[in-house]
Amino acid sequence: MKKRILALALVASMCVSLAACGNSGSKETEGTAANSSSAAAETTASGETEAEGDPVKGGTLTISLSASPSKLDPIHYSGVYESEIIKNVCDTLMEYNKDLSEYVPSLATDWTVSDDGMTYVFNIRQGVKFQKGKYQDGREMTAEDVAYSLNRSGELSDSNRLSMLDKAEATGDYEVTCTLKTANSSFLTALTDAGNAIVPKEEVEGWGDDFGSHLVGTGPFSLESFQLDQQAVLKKNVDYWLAEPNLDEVIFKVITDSTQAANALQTGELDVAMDLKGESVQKVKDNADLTLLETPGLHVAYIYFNMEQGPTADIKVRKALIEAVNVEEMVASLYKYGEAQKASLPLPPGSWGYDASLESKVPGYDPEDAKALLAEAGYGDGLTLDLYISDTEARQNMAVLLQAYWAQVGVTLNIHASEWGTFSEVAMSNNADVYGMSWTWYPDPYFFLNKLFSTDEFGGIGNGQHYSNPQVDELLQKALEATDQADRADYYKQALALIVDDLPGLFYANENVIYGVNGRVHDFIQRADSTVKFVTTENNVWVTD
Amino acid sequence: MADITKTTSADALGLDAQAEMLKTERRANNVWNKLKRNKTAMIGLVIVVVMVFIAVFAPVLAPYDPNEIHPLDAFLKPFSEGHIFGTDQFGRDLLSRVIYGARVSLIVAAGGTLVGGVIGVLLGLIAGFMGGIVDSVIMRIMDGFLSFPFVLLSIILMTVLGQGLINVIIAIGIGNIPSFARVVRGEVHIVKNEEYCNACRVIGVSNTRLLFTHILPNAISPIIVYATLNVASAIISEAALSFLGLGIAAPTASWGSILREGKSSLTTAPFVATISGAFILITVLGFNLFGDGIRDVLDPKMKQ
Repeated sequence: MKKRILALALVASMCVSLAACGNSGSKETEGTAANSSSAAAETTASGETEAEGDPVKGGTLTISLSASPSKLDPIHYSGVYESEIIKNVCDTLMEYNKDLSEYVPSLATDWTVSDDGMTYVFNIRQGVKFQKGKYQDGREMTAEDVAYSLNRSGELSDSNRLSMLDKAEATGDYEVTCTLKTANSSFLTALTDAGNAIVPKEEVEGWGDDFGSHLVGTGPFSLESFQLDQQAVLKKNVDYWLAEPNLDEVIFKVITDSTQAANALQTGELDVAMDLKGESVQKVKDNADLTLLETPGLHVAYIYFNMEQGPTADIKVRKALIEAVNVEEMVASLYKYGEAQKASLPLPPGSWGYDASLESKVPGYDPEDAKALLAEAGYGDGLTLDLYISDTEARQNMAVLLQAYWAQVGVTLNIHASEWGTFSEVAMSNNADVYGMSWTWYPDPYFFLNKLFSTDEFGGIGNGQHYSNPQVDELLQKALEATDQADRADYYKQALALIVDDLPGLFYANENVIYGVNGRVHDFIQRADSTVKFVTTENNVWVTD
Repeated sequence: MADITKTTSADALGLDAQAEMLKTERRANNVWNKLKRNKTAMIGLVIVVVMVFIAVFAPVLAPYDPNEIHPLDAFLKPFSEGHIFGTDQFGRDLLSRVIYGARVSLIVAAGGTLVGGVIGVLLGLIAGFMGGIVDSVIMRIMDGFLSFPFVLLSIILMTVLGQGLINVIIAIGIGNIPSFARVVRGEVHIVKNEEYCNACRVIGVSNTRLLFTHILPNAISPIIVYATLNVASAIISEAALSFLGLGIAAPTASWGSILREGKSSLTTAPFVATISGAFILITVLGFNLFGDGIRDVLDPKMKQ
């Protein structure tokens, strides 16, 4: 039952950050294009290690995963930890460049979109070969494979990663035509997702449910072995269509504890430690042999209110609760090593729908006014609220501070911390007053605003609070149907302004993507969406001894 | 041998002197005086008394409100700005939290022992006294309980019950039942066949009365010893549960929860984990020393 609920949560949400859902996380973070945005591109600038010198061939790179990947079949994967592996074994039709500002052709060389936005025609790259597997011997990838993989994801994806697709057809040896159910501007973005990677039919059907453990694709590395909760070993694919990988081998090691990962990095057991937190950030900074890579993530940590029932249905109460919190102080306390920036809006600044002029509309710290508002709303004698969070350290620390701030205005907060499954169950059924969570996804505002505030998303993990505003719904729908990104951004900004006025929550922090890297790693790129790729058009990672 | 010496000396000294000597000897042999002669037990007792004192008078002793946050004064070093033990990650006064934590830790340890003790003793009495099928059923169930590792059992219970003081007490209490039942059952087995019990049966004393007024009092020594030592392990259990985040709900401090919070700042602020850990260590040591002392006095046989 728990599993089903969890699965439902994932389907509904597709993605919530690691911080929100704990180590078994369902974080999914894939970037999207911000074709028009320049401000966004600046904030999502990626970190890199030195690429100077002549690349050395050979060697092994060991990298940590902060949670254990379990399902590597693209249609079943739920966490960013799984997508890291999938993205190095398989390719998608297109991907993003390192600062997530542009699409880069991958298995599709180019594409055209019909005027009504319903039909997409892709030209498929020729001469791309699958890795050898048990059921095929490294044959060429064709339009049939692309159509098969996309239809499979459209129908079966656990997390609705391609739900807008009606059907994909091979209309030539190297041409695929995709028809959508309704015009949806987020389609191309969705195609960059590891969940929509291209896989060979023989292997999928041959392995059946076990395909995940024997994943085969067209990517730079092939999956040599996969041990649950331990590691995944990837061997280089000499025939990779883009370039021959410099690395012979990549090992993804599961190390859930940040301190332990930093220690392993110091001893040389690891070359790259992902998702560092707290003290271990400082540890890496202080070590001259290690480099700390830090990039603002596409991430929002927030608390949100029940919009339908209870005291928080009253906007005065919500305003009071927001005013009672000294967000600046809270963020300084929660992220002592600068692992996050103070936030204000339900969109990360890296998204092209972000509108900095709205930041001032969010009520600031004013406990006196908060008390007055509560009295006005009829809670002069105090108020007791229930907060639900997942039981990660980040959420629990936040809850303790929130409790203390609200106590100062006479609000008693009961903290209920539980594992992700229970939390998501409560959060989706809107059975509490206040929830704490975080959200990470593409820079396309669709993946934040529609998922969190559209009436259609009632009962999902995104809009479990039952936020509903007909004007917002209308704008969000218009933004999805519009094809021009400037128009879309405009609709999203209008929607965002209305949402901010309704005070649905307190959006307090944008966490950074933080890695520690040792000196032998070269040409390694860190991205805001926390995707790690070892061979792209922009880099080909190599190691020295 | 001793008797003979006593008699002869008494004869020689006369009746008054004999009575006086008996009194002295009885005094010397009473539990308290025996205990007083046991130095390590006294050290244990002093520790226990001090900790109980701290727990009882927490509101008077604590210099600050243990839950008052000052986010900008986080991780102040010990002995800085009026914070003897420094401050934790939210700028809360660590001394005050440790003092209030003593309350929670001791209440949970004592409560858990009491819950486990009362239920375990009852079950043990019944099992030992009735024998036969009742004994088998009860003790097999107890064996079943024991087959779960204690921490696992407590984790399951805490997950089902949810956080909270009473729930931690219940979880630890339930975990303690089987061992109490075993200790008592064994003792009842010995006591119930003593002459005085047979005598009771002959004159028609009811089973309940026999059980509670004759058997239980004579089986009480190992229970007291076991309970005292058990408080020590209950403190550790509470700390373990809090350390795993399954103990008392935030922001209430317990030594285990302070230790848990200190874990993530071992390099920056090692004193948070060290101080709370030291309090756990000292208190557990105190209860163990004291319990050992009581055992030596009440039940010297148990030592072997």
